[in-house]
Amino acid sequence: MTSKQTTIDIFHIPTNITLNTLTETIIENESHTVVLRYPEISVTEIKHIANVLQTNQHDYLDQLTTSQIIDVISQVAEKWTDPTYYLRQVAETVIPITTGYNADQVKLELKRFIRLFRKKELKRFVNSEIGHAGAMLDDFQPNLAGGFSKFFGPDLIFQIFSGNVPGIQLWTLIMGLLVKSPTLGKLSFSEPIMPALFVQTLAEIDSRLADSIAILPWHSGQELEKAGIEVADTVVVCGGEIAVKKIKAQVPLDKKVLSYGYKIGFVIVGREALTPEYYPQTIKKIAEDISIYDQQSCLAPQSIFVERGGAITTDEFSALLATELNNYQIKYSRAILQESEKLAIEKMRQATDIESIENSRTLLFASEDSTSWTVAFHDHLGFSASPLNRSVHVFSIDDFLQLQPILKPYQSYLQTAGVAIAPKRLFTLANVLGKLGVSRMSAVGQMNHVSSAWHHDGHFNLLDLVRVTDIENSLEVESEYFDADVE
Amino acid sequence: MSDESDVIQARLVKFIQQYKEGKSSEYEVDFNQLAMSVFDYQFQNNLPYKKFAQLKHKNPLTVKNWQDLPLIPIEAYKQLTLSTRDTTQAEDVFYSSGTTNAQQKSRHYISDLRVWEQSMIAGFKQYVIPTKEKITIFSLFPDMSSHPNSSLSRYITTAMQVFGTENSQVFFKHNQLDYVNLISALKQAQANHEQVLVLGASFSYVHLLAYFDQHPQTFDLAEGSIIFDTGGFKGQSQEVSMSTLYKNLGQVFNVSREQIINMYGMTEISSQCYDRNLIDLSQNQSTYFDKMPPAWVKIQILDVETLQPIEQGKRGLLAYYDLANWDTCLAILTEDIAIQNEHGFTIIGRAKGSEAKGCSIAVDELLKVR
Repeated sequence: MTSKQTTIDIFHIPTNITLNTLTETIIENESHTVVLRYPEISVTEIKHIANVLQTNQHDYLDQLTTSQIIDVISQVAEKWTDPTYYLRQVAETVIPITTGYNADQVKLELKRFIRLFRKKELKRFVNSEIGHAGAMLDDFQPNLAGGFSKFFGPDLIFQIFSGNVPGIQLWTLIMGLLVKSPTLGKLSFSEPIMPALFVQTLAEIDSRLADSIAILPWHSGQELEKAGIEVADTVVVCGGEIAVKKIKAQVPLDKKVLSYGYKIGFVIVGREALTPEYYPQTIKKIAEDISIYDQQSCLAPQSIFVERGGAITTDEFSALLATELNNYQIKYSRAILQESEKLAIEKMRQATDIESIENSRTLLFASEDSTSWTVAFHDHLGFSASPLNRSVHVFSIDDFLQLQPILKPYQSYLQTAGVAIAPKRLFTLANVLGKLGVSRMSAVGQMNHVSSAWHHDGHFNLLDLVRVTDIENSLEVESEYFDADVE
Repeated sequence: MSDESDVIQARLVKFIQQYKEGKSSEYEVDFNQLAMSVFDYQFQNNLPYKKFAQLKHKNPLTVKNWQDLPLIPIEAYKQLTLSTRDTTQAEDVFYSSGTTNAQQKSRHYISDLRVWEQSMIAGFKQYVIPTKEKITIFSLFPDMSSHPNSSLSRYITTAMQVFGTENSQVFFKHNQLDYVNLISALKQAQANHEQVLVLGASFSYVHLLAYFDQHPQTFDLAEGSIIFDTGGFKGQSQEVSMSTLYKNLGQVFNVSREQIINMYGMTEISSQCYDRNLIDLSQNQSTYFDKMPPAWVKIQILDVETLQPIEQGKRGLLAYYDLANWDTCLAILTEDIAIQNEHGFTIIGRAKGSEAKGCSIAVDELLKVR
């Protein structure tokens, strides 16, 4: 049998750097072989790259206005919105093979995701935090207290990317560009392709801009990360709990660390969304939230609170959700799992079975002869993280105000809440959730699709990266005296 | 009711006696019939297990083959009281050492020890000392006197009572290994050319070898001596590969690999499985180190994705069907990953929980964090 072969360089370095020979990793399925090429990097090389990045940034990126930067990035995004663009086609072919995600789902989600980086979305993104199309990033601007202020991005950002969801890395990469900072990035071998291809397009459009980015994959260890931290003044780390903790511990106090770590999403369904008219749609959308990228993004729900008193009962809700998950599986099958991931699902199912022996109201809905999807229904208040990969807990609830004590212990892990509820109760609920640390509320069906102005994990995106320099009013006034021509 | 359990126990004792040395042509049918009777008895008398079976849409009318028995997850021994009889009258109860969660231990009630003892004695004789009647046993693990409610301690006490010579001893006192007396007893046995069976859990041997690292010692145990090891490193922090451990033990004691045997047992089951090397050796056959279940135990390796039997040579979850578990649940889904081949099966290790790839936190990680 002949199989197709695609070779991809899963790295990018400035054009004025040459590296040694490339190493190859091969990933294949029945019909396709993917060869991933990357250089084995050393500490000396990291230090050298860091110097070059800073020079390149000084010579070019720093001279651009925010609008010009947005222009370039949006041209990249526009290329990617074209279904016939060859790199998009490469991504659509290769990412399902390397990640195991369903090919049709990847296609759809990449298409949606890339739109976040078109001109209008980027402008909104910058305006939501910096205002005035990012003018304060370009020049000293008059401020309300008198005087002038300007934002400065980091001298060099060291980014440690996660590999759970294709493209997720582009967020912080683009944030770096918008604040005019060079980025040295460590790619995850789980998903290095999307960032590598995106920067390749960037280089096609403006190679000097791409010259302030170096992204390279390496296996997590000690030395190289240490070098990355040493050369940078700001560290951005995304990933699991252990990875984030480990990096944070290594960063000296005088450097800035932004971390995006382990988070849990959940859904709240009010009885008004469970009327005969609306319940099929509500459930279908929740099934989508659970199924997109198999809950590997921190945005996806792991528990669902369903209010009693709707047109369908909470156990009926669970049964219908199970059916929808089954439909979704037929349309977009879940990724093939590692043994440990399958076992985690089996354990969740066992625990639910054991619970239902003691409490016959507890019900398990599970895909037959597979771990494809699982719904554990608990007819009481509770909260639980799930083993992911399309497994979810459903809890019955009488009143949303009861959630406070249930969610409180998990406060630091809460992130997105998908909510289906009438406007009358929305703001009361939002207040409760906001106090509990929930950073984002979205409609159900949209949990995995963030808006371009979102505050990642409840933080500012650009504002957290920059520092401010003020020219105070006194100086502005005093300096007038030193004008030789003053009257 | 006690009549019924007496009948079951009598049939089990007879079955063990009948098949302990080898299987006849009626064996498969006999095993299945007895398994169905035990399941019927458990379905009638073990209420939580009955509910579990019903959840799986199984009952004595629908299940005809032991392979189809509802497999209770081992976790259920922690959460539920699983017994066909009044647990307050149980002769013994085994607690697990809390391998993953110290707060929650498995409880295995043994209402009557007769079958348990028959199973232990017949298995030990067949697989560990097939050519001997007695042997001097040096145990590195506590016996029942200092460690009640441990299935391994009862196992050791029984082994020493039934198969131990008068020189047999336990070298675990006051929560630690009594190295000094152990060494002198080993030297004594060596001087007398007396065969010994050193019995310990894997982590006992790790400690012992660490001690010998600091206090260098080697022995030249009499030919036919046996190193008996049980368990892996469940819940223990040290990770040592079995092959390294056995190589080091072989060197310290001057014992060949063929004389080192591993036993698979756990709190929730009543019958143990052993490596087949000593039985192979006694029959002058090629020696394999795979495990073989005794005649009153069957196993299946299940695909983790489907929970259906998986082909030979592939990893899967070990399902354990132990007739001697007549008064709790005979069909158990363990958390051990195993592989089967034509010679037997091998335990790969305890199933590990899953870790999420990125920022999404999976339940196992959350438990670790909290």
